[in-house]
Amino acid sequence: MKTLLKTLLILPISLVLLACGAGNGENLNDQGRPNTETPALVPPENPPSDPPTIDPNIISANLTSIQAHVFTPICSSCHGGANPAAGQDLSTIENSIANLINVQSSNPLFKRVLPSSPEKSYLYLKVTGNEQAGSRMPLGQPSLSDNAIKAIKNWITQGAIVPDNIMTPTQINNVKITSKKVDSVKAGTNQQQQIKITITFNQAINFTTLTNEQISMGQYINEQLIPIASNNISFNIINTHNLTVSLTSDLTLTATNRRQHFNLLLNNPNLSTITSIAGQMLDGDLDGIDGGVFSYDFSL
Amino acid sequence: MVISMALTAEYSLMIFHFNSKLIILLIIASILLILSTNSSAEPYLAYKNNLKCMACHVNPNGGGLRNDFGRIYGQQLLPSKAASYDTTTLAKLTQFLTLGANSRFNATFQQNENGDKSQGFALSSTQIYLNIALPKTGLSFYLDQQVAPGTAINREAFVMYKFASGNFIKAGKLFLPYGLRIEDDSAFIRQSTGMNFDNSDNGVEFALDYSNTTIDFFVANGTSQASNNDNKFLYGIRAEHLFSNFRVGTTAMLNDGDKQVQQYNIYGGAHFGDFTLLTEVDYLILSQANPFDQSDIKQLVGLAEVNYQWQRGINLKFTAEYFDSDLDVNENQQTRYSVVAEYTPFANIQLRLGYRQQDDIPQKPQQNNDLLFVQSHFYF
Repeated sequence: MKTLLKTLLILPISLVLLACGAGNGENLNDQGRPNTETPALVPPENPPSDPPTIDPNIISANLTSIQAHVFTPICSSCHGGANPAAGQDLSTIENSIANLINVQSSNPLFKRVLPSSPEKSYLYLKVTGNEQAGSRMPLGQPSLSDNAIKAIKNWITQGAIVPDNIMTPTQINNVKITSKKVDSVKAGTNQQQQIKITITFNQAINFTTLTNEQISMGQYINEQLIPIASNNISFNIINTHNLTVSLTSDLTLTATNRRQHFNLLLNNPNLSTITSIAGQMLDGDLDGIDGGVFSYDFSL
Repeated sequence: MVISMALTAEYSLMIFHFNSKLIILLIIASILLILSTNSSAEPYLAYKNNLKCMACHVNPNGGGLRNDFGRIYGQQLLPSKAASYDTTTLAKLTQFLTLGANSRFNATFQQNENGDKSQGFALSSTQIYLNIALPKTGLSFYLDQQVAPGTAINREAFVMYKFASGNFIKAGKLFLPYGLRIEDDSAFIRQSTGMNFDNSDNGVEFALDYSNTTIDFFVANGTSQASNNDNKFLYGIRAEHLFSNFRVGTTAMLNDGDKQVQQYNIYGGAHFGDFTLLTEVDYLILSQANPFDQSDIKQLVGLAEVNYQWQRGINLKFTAEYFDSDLDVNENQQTRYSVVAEYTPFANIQLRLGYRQQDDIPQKPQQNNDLLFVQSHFYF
């Protein structure tokens, strides 16, 4: 009886525990993110000093490659996310720079990365399992490949150079339009249409650099762009990365039974320019070069 | 019942595909267990005994230095052969000053999907514990120092005051009370939440301790071992209740800041005869964590573990883990399965033999790996 009970208990439990499988990775990139999250950037006119690796499978002695092959896929499982181990977030190249180069390690004798001195860099000591640095990283996982360790060593030896293009252009990478009809209290109009445009920036924005004048909208009527009065346009800052622009238009003034076509202009360089909190100008025209007006056509 | 909590609807919706190697291993293990006629009533530590962590450990949240009961348990009840000696005279330097230690030494063989192999011996970690309890005051000072490998790293250093009622307050560098306090820092539930033995924080904890219920409130920097980098803090509460043969707990935590992190979990354990079941499910909300559109990322993490006390001194552990790093993304889940045999031949030494298989999406070959390990664990 006891044996039977054990059988009944352990076999179902064992099977249930094994019922889950890893994802098949369909439509995901090598970081486990959807392929659709790769922004379509216009290549910059000036090639960066840290050129992309020719073969994406080969790790090179530059931070971009090390980030893509080591820090993001391996280290950031602990050094990232909700509560990065040792307060050291390595999930993005910006975080890696901020948390590694010339940053004091938990051992007062070492910086995490001391440019030009791999043997005095805690990162290198950690991934090589040097006794001075405690537990070898990655913790509980296979050691890094020789190529990865060599790339880290060479990158540090060469001065732990930060790529010129580390400052990913500050750009708008998502625009979402919603609209709804509302009753109007204005005399002579029956209904109004409220259009809400949610704009997402890829970097934290210093919204003190944003003024009403930098946002303008127009409506295409008979293929001509007719400016919309600025008092019908307002904006609201949601957080450092998101902004909503609201427009109220009178339906009686427009052809309500046809699609309406609008244009949004942002970051007119003739006025001023929006900057990120790091002071980088918004690359409005998505050409990879700071500055430029963001022009967006949409239809409702 | 507890298992069913862990295996949430998320689990049931997943595509079922079985791992033949692990199935074979588990069936063999099952047969061995069934054939065993020498099973004893040896409990699996706190959950098996339905005791609080503080029954065996100086630190009320568990882990680290053992108290008198924990020390006797480790000498007389845990091993196959009870000790003929008593380490109390070694551990208790005086009535008020207690020492302890843990040391883990590993031999590992690992291979990932790329075929990269690594093998070798490594001193995984060695900690020395010290507790100074001032007489008749309820006041104590606790130190947990990792002394090897490498240079010393402080893990915990706090002052604790215990009220006569059993409530206590701690201040200093401490491991925050969060979910199951399992030893394996690389478990998904510990890794993804950052709540592990490699990641203490500076803060204050206050606990209401009743006979079967403990409620912890805590505030910390929220920056792990680093100093506070803003004016924001991490806030949390954990509540746990012991029933007759099982327990249930829950934790809620908010790490405030420019990018807030919310963490919630429910965890529990139960014992049925020689079986002890543990489970935890975590739900995390990482505000604006998606680097593409700054949207929130929601994560789900789970662990289910079955311990079977085959014989006195021999524990078999089967663990299944699940991690969905973004609930809005399909087919990105990770899993990890472990089979570990723990053998405690005599007091103060435990040997562990384990096989662990971690699976991630095919695009991450480094994260698809097999690990075979033998560990010796000296505890004192």
